[in-house]
Amino acid sequence: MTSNQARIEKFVDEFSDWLVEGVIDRSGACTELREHLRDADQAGDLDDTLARLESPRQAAAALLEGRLPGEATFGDRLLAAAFDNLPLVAVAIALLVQNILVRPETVNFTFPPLVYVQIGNACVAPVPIIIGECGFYNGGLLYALGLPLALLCSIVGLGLFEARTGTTPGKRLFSLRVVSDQGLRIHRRSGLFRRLSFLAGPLAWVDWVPGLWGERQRVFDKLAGTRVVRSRIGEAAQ
Amino acid sequence: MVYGISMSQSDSTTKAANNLHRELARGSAELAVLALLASGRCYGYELLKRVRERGGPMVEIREGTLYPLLHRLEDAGMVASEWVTEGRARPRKYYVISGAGREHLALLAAEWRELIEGIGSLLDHIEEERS
Repeated sequence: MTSNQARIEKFVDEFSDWLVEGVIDRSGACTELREHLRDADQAGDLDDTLARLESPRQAAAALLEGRLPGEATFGDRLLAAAFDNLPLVAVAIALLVQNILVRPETVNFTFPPLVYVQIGNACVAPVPIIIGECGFYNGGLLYALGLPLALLCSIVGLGLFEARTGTTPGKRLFSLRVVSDQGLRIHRRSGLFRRLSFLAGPLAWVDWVPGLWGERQRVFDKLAGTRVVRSRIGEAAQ
Repeated sequence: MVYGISMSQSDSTTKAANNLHRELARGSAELAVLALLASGRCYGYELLKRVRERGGPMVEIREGTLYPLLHRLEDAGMVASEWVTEGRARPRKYYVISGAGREHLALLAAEWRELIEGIGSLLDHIEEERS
């Protein structure tokens, strides 16, 4: 492989990394770009062509400009989220059942479950919710281990998966993709950040409030600069 | 000080000319691409080369404009694409103008000619008035 061929392959690989399958025909776009750069190389125009394209990210963003698929409805997004977060739903229901069995006189239930930690005499929670002492749930292994694992799955697992593939199993089921405002693959930071509302217990629903007046971005989507769009593959299938 | 003012005027004139060039190039890219495709199917690099050869230095289309434009025209049904492997080891994507694309081209070309005539007539009229 010549050095120019290596430059072309590197540029195309990085370009490909920014694209999300379903938002655009990724392999077609990469093949077309590769051929374009090879033609430019044969014409002795590779340096100028790469300079005009600026960077793989710019090239990918330019390709998607004005061609983002429509944004997903909150209804589809909620169904996809319910599927994706089944472990968290299961833990919330298990905590409720445990509560009914152990302390039937006071039934405590929220979704997502409240997150709090006892530090000395204080009960510390990520959001200012009045929960009194750290006794909202009955504790035990379910709260100490089950809830952290389910949250880890919902925030870290799905966040990183989404940043890598542009989708999650639930979103794939409903033909949805997560992209940046420019339509590009999101960064890991954004993937994690947009899911942090799960730590807010029932206040997490505030994140979805913009849907009430017809907006299609959650509050954390806006803060993270992300959008959930309909996959073109899904549209084609429909 | 006088030199400073003169430089500033020259700078702003150059900037205005560049802006006009950029706006005209942006507005005419669709017309240029459809016109070239009307004479036969082309792949991306070939289109850029033809624009440079036939349009001269004033008509410049970059990759960052060409491919999004081709894909938008494809979405709108004005252009179709086909992967062709004839005589090559690797497939190449060719773009072909459609019937709707030809109609759109005729409309854009007529608008363009009217605009050029209108601006030309306006400038002639002003020059006549001055002289």
